[in-house]
Amino acid sequence: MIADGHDGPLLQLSGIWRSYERGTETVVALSGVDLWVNPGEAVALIGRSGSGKSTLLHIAGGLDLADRGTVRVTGRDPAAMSVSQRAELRRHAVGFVFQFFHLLPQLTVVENVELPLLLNGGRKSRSRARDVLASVGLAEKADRYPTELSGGEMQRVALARALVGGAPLILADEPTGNLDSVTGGEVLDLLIAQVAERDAALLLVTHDAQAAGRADRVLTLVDGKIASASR
Amino acid sequence: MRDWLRLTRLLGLRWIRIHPLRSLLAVLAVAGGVSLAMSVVLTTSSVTWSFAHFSEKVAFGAQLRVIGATARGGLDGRVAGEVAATPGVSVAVPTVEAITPVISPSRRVTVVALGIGGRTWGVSPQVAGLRDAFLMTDAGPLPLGGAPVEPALAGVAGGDVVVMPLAMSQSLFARSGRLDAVYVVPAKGADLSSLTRRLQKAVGPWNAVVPAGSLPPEASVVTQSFLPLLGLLAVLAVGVSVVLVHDIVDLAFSERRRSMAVVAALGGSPLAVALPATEVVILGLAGGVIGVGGAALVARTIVGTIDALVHQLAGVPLSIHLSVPVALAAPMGGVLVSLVAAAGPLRRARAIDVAAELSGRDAISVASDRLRVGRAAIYSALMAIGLAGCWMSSLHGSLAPWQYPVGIASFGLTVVAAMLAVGNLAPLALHLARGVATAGHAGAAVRLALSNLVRSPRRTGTMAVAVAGAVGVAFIAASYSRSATEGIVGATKVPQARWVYVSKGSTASVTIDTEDRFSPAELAALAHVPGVSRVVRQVGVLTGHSASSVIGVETSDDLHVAGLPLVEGSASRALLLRGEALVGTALARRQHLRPGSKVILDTPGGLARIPVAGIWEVGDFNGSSVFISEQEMTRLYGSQPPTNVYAYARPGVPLGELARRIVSAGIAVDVHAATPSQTQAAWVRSVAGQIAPFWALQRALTLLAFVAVLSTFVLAGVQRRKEYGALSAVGFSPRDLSKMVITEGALVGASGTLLGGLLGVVGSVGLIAIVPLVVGYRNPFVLAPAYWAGYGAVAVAVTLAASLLPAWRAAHIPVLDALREE
Repeated sequence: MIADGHDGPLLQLSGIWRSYERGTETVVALSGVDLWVNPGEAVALIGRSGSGKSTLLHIAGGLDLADRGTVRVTGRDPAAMSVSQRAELRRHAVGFVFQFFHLLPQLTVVENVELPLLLNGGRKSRSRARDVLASVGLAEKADRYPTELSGGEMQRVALARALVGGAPLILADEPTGNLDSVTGGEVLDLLIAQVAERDAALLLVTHDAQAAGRADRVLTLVDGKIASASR
Repeated sequence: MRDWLRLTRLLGLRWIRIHPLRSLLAVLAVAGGVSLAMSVVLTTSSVTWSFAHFSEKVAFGAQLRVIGATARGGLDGRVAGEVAATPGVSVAVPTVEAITPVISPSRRVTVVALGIGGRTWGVSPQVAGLRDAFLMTDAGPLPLGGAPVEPALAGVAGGDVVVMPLAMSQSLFARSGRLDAVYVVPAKGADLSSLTRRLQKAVGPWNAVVPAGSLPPEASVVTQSFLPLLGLLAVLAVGVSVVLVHDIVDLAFSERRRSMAVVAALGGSPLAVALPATEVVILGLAGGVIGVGGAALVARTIVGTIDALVHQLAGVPLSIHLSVPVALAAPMGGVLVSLVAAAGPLRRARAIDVAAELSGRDAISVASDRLRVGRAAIYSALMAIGLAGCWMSSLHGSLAPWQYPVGIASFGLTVVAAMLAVGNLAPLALHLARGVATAGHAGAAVRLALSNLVRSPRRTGTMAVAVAGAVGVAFIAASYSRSATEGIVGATKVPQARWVYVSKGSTASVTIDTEDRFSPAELAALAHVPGVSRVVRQVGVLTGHSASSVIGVETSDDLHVAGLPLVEGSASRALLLRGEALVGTALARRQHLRPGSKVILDTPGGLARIPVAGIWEVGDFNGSSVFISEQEMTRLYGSQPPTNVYAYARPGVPLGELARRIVSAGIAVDVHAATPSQTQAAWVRSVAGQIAPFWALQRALTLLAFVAVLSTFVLAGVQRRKEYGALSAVGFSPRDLSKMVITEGALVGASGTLLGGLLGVVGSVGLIAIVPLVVGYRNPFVLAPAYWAGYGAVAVAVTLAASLLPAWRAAHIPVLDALREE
């Protein structure tokens, strides 16, 4: 059971279909995907480029909507929500980590981490952001700008931003894809450790088999379908 | 609340600190547009304030003013008693407000000689400072030496004022039993509108009750002639400004799409995602504040031009007065301009596909806009329709009531459509140039420069509009100036003329409603100057109570009407002697007059109805004129001193020699005599002075063009960083990169100049067609291509200068960093 009183999987996708237009062509990104992630569980989703991994992750986070199928995030259906309600769902329930970090260049490191708390109207947001930064080993770089950091440091900031709001579901899209193997490994260690410490659920999209091996379950996505699942 | 303020600071205002140059350029773009628009508002409010301030000083506490059929002695003296007896009136202050010169050996100053009941004789400190000065009156020069100095008068009419008892002024300025105005202080608690109605009933319909500080009709004649045209140009400038800010904001939001998507992914509400818009508000506010200063600078030139005429006509010096509402309107206008400009980009930014943006899929490219041939055709067609409307409004003397609104609206449509057409035609022209460059041997930098401009047609169009606006306005102003000059040359017919223009004060003096005019004795002395065959007097009286009802009633000794442009009816001396009138086109349109109908005139004795013999296109009083015989003039308005005096030369007497004889004859103080060529030159100078405000606007538009090109290239440079990196990687040197950007600047300047020529020709055609609607006469159609070429060169230089900084930045881009950017 999690903070908001939901029992069962934190993320549940059933029969998800999604296609989109690219020029005159219709690209089917997902065709009938079923997936769930339980609290304290790390699930890796692997597949080639264009297999629909990122699309699935965006639907899971309510950034995109499925054409067909049902989505439950902490038991709630993003498709039945307004844009504002989906934003609220993300603020409370979802933490994103992106391949290209997506830190806001005009904000300092601590301001980037603090941002979800400010959006949430939380108190003592600055001290909490500093605490989380310390937990990812970046306390001394809190007042720097993202452009002054290395790739690994930027991803750790992004991780801190995803964790700071206490979201039960962490969605990580190729978090090591833009890092060298050593740095990528360190970031992954940190991600897994932090998620475990918070008893959160992690859906990790990656094309790196070694990274996927750190997860509790590995799902392989081929041409928009789950082709295999392993533990 | 505190969190929202912090969010606003972080997501909205932080950008200003991060990108100061871009912020500054956006502020300048807003300031440019606001300056030009507010300059017209500031001019109007300053003129109004100057007269209101004067009225307040003359009769403190007065809220209403009763004026007569004519500005000079138009009220019967008994009206003051009728006004005072009207219920609701606390105090009625009868005045004479004579506009007359004070002449000293060193200076000549136009002053207001105020006759006020109960006042004693006195002069302002400024007038007292003039040694051995004389006040010119109808009873002869009055020495001012020893006149009591009243320090309080220093602030009335800029200190150019003399006060005296009412009876004294009536005696000195030939207003026996007559007044110029009665100021009314209402009783406490009196309802102003019902008091106005009661007063109007008491004084009769040929007199009027107006707000105490309202603009006198003689001042409206001046302001009405060119403020509408200035207003149109100001609208044009605001349009350019909106497009510029739109472009800057659009590009800025495009750059921030990723940030906005991240905020959305983190759970930011739609309102939080839109927080970058707060930056737009702040920039608009800053632009508006700076725009107040810019407006004051531009308005100073415009007010200076109006003052040169109004001061002589109404005696009140005009000064810039920045009222609180105007000062507040500018920043609010800046915010409004910014929000209007940002509305589209913000809507698009809020509609982003967050998932697509974050994954780099399907992200909208700012360079994805296409050449818009269809739009160019539509705007060109609208421009043609506008021109057709201008032409239709000029047909048959523009006598039909619909022709004025249609003409003005058509000119507005022509200018706006032409600007929009320019914005769409410029990329097309460059597209054609690219074809030529590709077929020829143009270098890579030139080809790339052309490609860059063609692939972003909207951005290119904005810059071209700004440049073409500056060049086009210069072309239009210069062409109009030449056209007016040729009109004057055609009217004066210097080679055949055998007259000398005689005046007091200056060669091209405006003498209507001033007191410094020739008396019968002085005219008799002029007729006896050796070499003078005859003296022809022209007399003018201004009637009407408001800008919309003002009429100039004129006559001349010789009733010379042959050869003047008659639109309808007939014009002959015999008809005029029979008591009929020739009326100007604007008045005919206003009062629906045709030959055979009767024109209604306010006279001191009541309303007069004069049969119309014909309608002519003579520009006196902007076409609101009535020409009658001298007998009719005397019957309606009493004996009037002449407005203009021409001394005709006997055969064999050279005109220059005659002018010298008249000046040295000593017929009056400060007499000037000018040959036809000197008179023509003075009139041409006067026209040039009237066009000065247009040149002030043109300079402001040139500055706006500089800002447009600089800001656009700076933003484009930011967007093209990766592209510049790629070009460097394939062998482009820093010099090639800067050459490419500078070439873009030159091409924008050249295309803007080319299309500025089109704008100039179209604008000139439209303007010449509608000018008779505004000023009542028709000028020949003349273009000034040399000015187009000259200002085109200036425009190219300006765009080249504006491209220098972006070129330097392109040449100094850190290649590896640029290539690493996502």
